[in-house]
Amino acid sequence: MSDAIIRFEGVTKSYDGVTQVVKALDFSVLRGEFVTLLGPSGSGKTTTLMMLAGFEDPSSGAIMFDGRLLNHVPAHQRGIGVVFQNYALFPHMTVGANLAFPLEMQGVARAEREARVRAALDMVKLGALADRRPSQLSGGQQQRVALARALVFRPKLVLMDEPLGALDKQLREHMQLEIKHIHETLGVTVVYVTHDQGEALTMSDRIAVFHNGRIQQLASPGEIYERPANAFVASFIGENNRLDGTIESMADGVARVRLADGSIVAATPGPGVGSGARVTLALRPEKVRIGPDAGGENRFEARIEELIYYGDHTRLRLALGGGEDFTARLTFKDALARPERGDVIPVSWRGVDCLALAPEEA
Amino acid sequence: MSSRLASRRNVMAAALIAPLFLLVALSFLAPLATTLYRAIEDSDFSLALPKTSRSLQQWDGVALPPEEAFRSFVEELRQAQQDQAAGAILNRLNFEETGLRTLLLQATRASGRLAEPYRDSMIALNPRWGDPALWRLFKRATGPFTSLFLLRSLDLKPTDQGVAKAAAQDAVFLPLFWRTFEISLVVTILCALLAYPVAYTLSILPQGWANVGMMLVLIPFWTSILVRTTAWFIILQREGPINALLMAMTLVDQPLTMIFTRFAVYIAMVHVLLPFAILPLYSVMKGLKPDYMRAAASLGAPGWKRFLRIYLPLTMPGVAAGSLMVFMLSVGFYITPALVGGPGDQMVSSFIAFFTNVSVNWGMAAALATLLMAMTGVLVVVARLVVPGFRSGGVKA
Ligand SMILES: Nc1ncnc2c1ncn2[C@@H]1O[C@H](COP(=O)(O)OP(=O)(O)OP(=O)(O)O)[C@@H](O)[C@H]1O
Ligand SMILES: [Mg+2]
Repeated sequence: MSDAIIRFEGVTKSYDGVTQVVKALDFSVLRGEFVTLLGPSGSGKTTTLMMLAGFEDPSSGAIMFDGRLLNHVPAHQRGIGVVFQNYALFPHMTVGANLAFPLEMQGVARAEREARVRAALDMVKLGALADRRPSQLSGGQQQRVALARALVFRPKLVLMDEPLGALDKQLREHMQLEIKHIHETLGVTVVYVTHDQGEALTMSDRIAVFHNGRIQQLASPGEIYERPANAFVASFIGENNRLDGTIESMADGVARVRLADGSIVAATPGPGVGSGARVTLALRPEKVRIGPDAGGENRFEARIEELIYYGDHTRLRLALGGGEDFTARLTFKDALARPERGDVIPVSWRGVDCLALAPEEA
Repeated sequence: MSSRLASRRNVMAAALIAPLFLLVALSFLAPLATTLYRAIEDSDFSLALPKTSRSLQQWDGVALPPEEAFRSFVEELRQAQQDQAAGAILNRLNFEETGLRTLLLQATRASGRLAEPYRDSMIALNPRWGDPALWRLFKRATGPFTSLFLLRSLDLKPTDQGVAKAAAQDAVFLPLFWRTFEISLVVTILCALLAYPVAYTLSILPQGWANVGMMLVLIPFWTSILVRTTAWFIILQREGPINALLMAMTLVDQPLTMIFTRFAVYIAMVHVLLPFAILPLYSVMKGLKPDYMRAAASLGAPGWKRFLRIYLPLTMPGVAAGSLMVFMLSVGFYITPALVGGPGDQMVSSFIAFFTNVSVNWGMAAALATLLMAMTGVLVVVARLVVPGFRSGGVKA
């Protein structure tokens, strides 16, 4: 469980020889792990996956798979299962024939082939549909067939490029769990691409956050959420208040940050920031406390700009620290009764909840 | 109220499509219907010899017709000769049985001298007039419809007893149909085989080069068939550039005979029809998502298996569409075989042209055209049933 099955070593990729869409990738994926590549559109996720599958060649660097240099191995000899976003089921074959195809290529005997196709279809709960054509299936069913086809030849690694992108929300959530269960049952290594952070957080062992062709952070969902490595990760994952400032001093793991309006905030320095550095403070709305005796060393008076009712909580947009879109959540537990627009209320937060991160690169 | 509104809408809609409908009806359905009608219509005899026709229609056909029929026949022949209207009927009857022209001409010329009783004087003129079978042939020619042309197009002929094989020298049409379909099939297969790699190459070239390649395909396509065929005529001649080159290279010591052969017909027809095979294939190949081939690779299929198992079946609708087009066009080809082929390479169309322009036998021309259309239709339906990928609807994602 601890040895790396995939290792990227200084991999770069450029389609046109000018712009690098993937820059110096260095990371590894452990055997049996579920790793998600998460990032905004155009950040290089699909490109990374295509290089792994063998549909694109890296411009430089090495990709190791199971201790073997993969760079010049043709795609059909890699033994890596791929689930495509549009499923790419062969329209002229039945579901059963689609699943039997990789087994035929491996030279599996007919009887065993049929047994394995049936088992794979049962696994995705489509046992009765073996004789249908893909065009006679619903989107969700096609998705399951694609999943079964990528798994039926028992690859050590399965790549999935936004496999649930075409499904509606409910089905997507259901399939997330199902894929997760299949991963746990089979113990296969999965590299999964999505730009849906919720999907990444629920499914992954680790998440690689991509931005501009680089991995910004590769860590467990909890760590990504709680301790984002930089301002991009902080803003991309979940909701964050952002305040720009400069570190005045650092002592005992606490940074004192001066904001634009001159006020000083105590914050926890993120990786790679030091005294005098320009930083972006990241603070989750649910960590902002409201009320005069809420505790927390950073205390501010903030004017309410807007109230938005959400049922279980009310979202407040506040003017604070020189900006006007500082967000806090007001729940029933908060002492403050019915605040109104224009009220000035006391807010506070703890230094440990507030991260001082390197700002986003331009 | 609302139903009246709806019916007004329907009238409006009908009025809007009426011009289109009329255009289709006039330019397509009407000629088609006329052709079908011409193939079975038979009015030459009854127009030229109306009274004779009536008598013959009443005659029981067993013994000789009554004297009255003979009298009308002689009188009407005399009249036709004066009006110079005997040509059509001579053609019509001589087509059904060679030799009747001579017999009728003799009777026409003698018609002034013949006296009553006409039956006896005609038999005296030529004993054939005493043969009831001849008169039964005339009775069949009184129309209004005949199976003669359709049967003759199939190398058969109508007789008193029903249908029989046509005389050996008239039995040329079945081999002609066979040859037409053979040439068309060979041309179709050659076009498909040549178009496939060309379309594939065009589909994977970078856009700029693909445009250049497409121009190379399309420029000949825009050139008149006549011009292209003439070009082949020049190229393939005994003194043409190919023979000159072969001689210069001393590969042959006397010029090859290429012009006026089946080979020349194939080469020129394939050249003329190739774009029709390339264009639909190109569009299918261009529209095929690379994901299918990638999926096949990820599932362990090497290049040639990807081609055979995935690419070929998925591009079959393009092959089918192109082949269908080429086949349909080949079947009707006329100019190209006429210019570069020999006498044994002519297709049905050249006989249709012959019957329309030279022998002015509209019935035969229409019958050949009708049968060609029907046979092509049957072949296409059969092909749709037995050739995989032909029912293009089956292979769509
Ligand atoms: N075949 C190609 N040729 C040229 N440029 C390409 C090609 N494929 C991708 N790119 C470029 O590479 C960059 C990264 O693309 P990639 O498909 O890897 O992004 P992604 O992270 O998968 O985005 P998305 O979430 O939109 O799928 C983009 O700027 C894209 O325009
Ligand atoms: Mg992508």
